[in-house]
Amino acid sequence: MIEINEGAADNGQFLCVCAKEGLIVTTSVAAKSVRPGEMGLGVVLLALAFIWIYIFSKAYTGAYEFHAALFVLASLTGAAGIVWRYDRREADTPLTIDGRPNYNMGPVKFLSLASLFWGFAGMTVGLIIACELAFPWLNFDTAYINFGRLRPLHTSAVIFAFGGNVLIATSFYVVQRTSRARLAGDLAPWFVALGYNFFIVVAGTGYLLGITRSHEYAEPEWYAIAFLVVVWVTYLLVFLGTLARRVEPHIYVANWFYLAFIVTIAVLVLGNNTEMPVSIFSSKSYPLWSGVQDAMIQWWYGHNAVGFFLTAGFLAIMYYFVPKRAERPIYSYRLSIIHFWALIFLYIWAGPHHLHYTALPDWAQTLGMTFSIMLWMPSWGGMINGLMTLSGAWDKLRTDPVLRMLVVSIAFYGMATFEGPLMSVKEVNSLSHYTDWNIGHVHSGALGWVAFVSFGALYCLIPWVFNRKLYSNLLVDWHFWIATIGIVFYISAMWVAGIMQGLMWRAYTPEGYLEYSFIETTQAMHPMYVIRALGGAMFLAGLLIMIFNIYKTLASPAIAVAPEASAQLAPAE
Amino acid sequence: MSDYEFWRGVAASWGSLYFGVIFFAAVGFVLWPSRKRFYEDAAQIPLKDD
Repeated sequence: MIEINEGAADNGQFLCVCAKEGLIVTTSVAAKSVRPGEMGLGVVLLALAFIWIYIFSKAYTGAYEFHAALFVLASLTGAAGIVWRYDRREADTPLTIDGRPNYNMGPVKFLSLASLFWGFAGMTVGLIIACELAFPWLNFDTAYINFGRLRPLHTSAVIFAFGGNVLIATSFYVVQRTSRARLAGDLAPWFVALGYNFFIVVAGTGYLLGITRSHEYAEPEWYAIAFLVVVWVTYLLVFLGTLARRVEPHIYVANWFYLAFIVTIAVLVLGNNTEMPVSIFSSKSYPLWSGVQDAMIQWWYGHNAVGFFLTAGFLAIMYYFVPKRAERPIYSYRLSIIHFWALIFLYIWAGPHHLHYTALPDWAQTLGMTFSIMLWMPSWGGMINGLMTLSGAWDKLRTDPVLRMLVVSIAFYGMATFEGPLMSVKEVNSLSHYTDWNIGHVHSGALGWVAFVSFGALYCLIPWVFNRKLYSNLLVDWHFWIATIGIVFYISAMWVAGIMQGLMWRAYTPEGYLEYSFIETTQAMHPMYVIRALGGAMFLAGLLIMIFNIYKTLASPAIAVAPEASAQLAPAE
Repeated sequence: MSDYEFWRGVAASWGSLYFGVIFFAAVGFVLWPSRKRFYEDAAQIPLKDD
């Protein structure tokens, strides 16, 4: 949006100068006309508003009425936004200016700042529920903020809102820079950016109001998912359209990972949401299959959300931002391609390890375990590839805290992907399953790998696209150390809690009775829960330091010529 | 033999072999010695300034 204003101001100034000099400008400013996309999307949004007004009038529940109202409001705001933008945009948008690509960084700016907001929201909710587990009275006996409703709000906010915004922001940036072409689509990138965030709002408010499919990481109900599918297909088309107009002959490997992430998430969401709504006036739907089939589909979805959202997508970030920041090419480009294909071929089969010792056929459990163990190879291959990129430039870790953050994230990637296959082994799983060891494992991946690589990428990306110098490296240092120590508190507390819990559950007395009641295991874990909350608080404190640092960065004056951003000083869209 | 048994058998034999062949063909293609130069150039893409 800042770009639009700058562009409009430049244009105005240009006209003023011309007028003073007595020139008549007719040829340089083409007549502005409404584009078919603007007309089309405007009509669709207005139609959507009417449909949702109708649904609102007959909705079964108050919560669904609220969501219908949100859809009406968002559709009308979107239509108004198209008019608002039409008034401010130039007549046409060149793909190149003076032979250089006219990059479209507006959506990247919005998405990167949105990710910080959602990171703050999601991690705050995480801290609240960590405190609720340690001190259960903190839910104040209210339905809206009890653990069961806040937990999906936390997971969705950090994974899909924070992580998702980082992924879309960086993918829009990387695909443009490595294709040396402007992002495809006129309104489409903005539809993806705003539509995705609107989906998050619908999903998140739904959890608080008790609207859920009760499938882990797949809680949003049918109408939210239907809207998401439209947004996601648009995302895929924008990405493919940008690749199609690339100047660079080869598609850089980071884009392969982004594409795998986009395509697979589409397939997973469609597969796991084969459901029938009770009525269009109801938020409730039922899956077409039940029992063990539903469980298998759910964990095929769930594990590949880990594999393709939290792994492939963030590996794309690694493959662009680590070489860029270290100013060295990736250690082995061939290894990165083998890494890619090995992940694609192996990850998709690993889901059944979530269902060990259940009604799932034994062979499927063994298959899931076997493929999980095979995943050690590509995971560690990728980790070595990322780390060895620093070979010959390790001294940069001392001077550049952003690079340090990126490199430590790769180390955590290696650690979490070592632990995962270990836990997928049936004998280990019989101890670890359903315990807090899982929570520890997930957070070493989510905090150490996903969040750290995201922070590192945002510390690079935000100064680049806003054409600013990062306010303080010292604050990045503080962020890094506070967050790292927070992670150590978190995961070590959960290891101890989880293994203790597992051992207590399987402890027998000499007479053959279970030694501990469930409540005794919960009481024994209390100290670890407090330590976990402390670790989470530290991680959140690190993020607050980052937000302050980014705020000061954006408040500082733009730098005149930045090598990274020079080509991005593009006029309005 | 039920459909389930049949497809489970296919997945565990010819299906696995099929995917294995594709995967190793892709790996062989990437590691082919004469393509070394191509991948070295590709690795430079993010570092080229425009």
